[in-house]
Amino acid sequence: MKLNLKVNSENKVFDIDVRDTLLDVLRANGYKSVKHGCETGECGACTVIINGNAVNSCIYPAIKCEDAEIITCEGLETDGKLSILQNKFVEMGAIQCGYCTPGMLLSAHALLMKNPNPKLEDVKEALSGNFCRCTGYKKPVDAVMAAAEQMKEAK
Amino acid sequence: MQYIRDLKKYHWPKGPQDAVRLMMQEPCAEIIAGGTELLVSGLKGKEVNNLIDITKAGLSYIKKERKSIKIGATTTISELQHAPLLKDYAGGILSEAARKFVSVQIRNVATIGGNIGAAMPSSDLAPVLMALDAKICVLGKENKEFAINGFYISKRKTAMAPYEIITEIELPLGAEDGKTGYAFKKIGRTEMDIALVNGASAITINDSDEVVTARLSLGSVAPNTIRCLEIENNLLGKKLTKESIAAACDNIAKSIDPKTDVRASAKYRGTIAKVIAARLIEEAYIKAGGKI
Repeated sequence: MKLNLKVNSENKVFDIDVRDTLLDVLRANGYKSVKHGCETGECGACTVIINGNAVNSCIYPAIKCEDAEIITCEGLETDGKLSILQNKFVEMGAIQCGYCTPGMLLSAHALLMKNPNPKLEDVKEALSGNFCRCTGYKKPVDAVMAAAEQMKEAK
Repeated sequence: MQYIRDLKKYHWPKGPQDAVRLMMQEPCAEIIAGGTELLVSGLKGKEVNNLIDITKAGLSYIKKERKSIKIGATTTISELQHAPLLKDYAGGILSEAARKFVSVQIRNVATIGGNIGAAMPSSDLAPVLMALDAKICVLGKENKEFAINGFYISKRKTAMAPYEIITEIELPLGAEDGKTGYAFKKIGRTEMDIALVNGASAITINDSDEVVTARLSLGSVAPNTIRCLEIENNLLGKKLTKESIAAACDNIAKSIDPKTDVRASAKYRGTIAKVIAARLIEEAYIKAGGKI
């Protein structure tokens, strides 16, 4: 069956099976930033943004995404340049092996879309569904706070 | 990964009646809303080849009416968490419980009806709905209403009959005379984990600080969420002190039936349940204006 949706502001039509998860469909169509982790909605590596909300794509039926607007990590950069948020992750060492990073970036991006002035608690809440098994959480949290500051200045 | 190997058809009913009709037509059908429970562990031992998705069936709303707040079954946990109406209702304990519900990603998808219908003993919403004396509205061949106390039969079992779906959760408004305080507590290993023990309370006192009504509920300490009626009765008519609260909770072992699993032993759960029960009573009593 056909699935019509928008991915990173581009209209797309994907050929899907009724049993596919959104994770399957995105990876099969080249969005490899979306990581396959626990398959049970616990680790957050597969996080994408659907209509403004961070969601675990591994337990989300693709068929639910008809007409939805999806953002993956590929959609955060513009003309090959990293976003402020992505740059802060790099600058502040909020990345180690990188497997959890796309999911963390999208959880943070979803927060900043809704709340450009997050408090520390808001950032911790937003990232609490993303597991990191190497660098920990302090640096990602600091990076999101710093990105929020810089985004305000850039406005 | 294909989330259900034998899935053939995915239905989008336009309304709850339509959903019930589809359930009766399709022999191996299951209702899906957010799917965060169903697709992870809700299908064990079930043969399912049709899914009936009710998230476009007009059941997503939170509205205030004259005597109650009505919450549509497919309202997400995030919507509960952020609704101004619920932050102002009953000391905000439903928003607070929603905030403690797993992760943002799950809260954006999981629904109140799904959580209640899944009937897991660790539900963070169930104890709160019990403390608030909520009603569960169900549609099958006809409309039915259940008091939440009595809705749960055991783990994964509710009083609902086959071919019925939850349509709405109703919270009473201003039913009690006097001042009421509320509390919610959850003990979990991590921010994301399900509760080892959770619970909620609602205590109403009169002008002399005596308890007029008390509701105390606990989760994860029995096959499903329970009301602790014996403890509640021990509080009625009394001005509370730390000692009287401790005494009321002393026989808690009779009300609960905790199990050992990977997260905690039955003994630990029993010990913690007593502490949580006492703290819930104390906090609700103080929030009602009582002095301890």
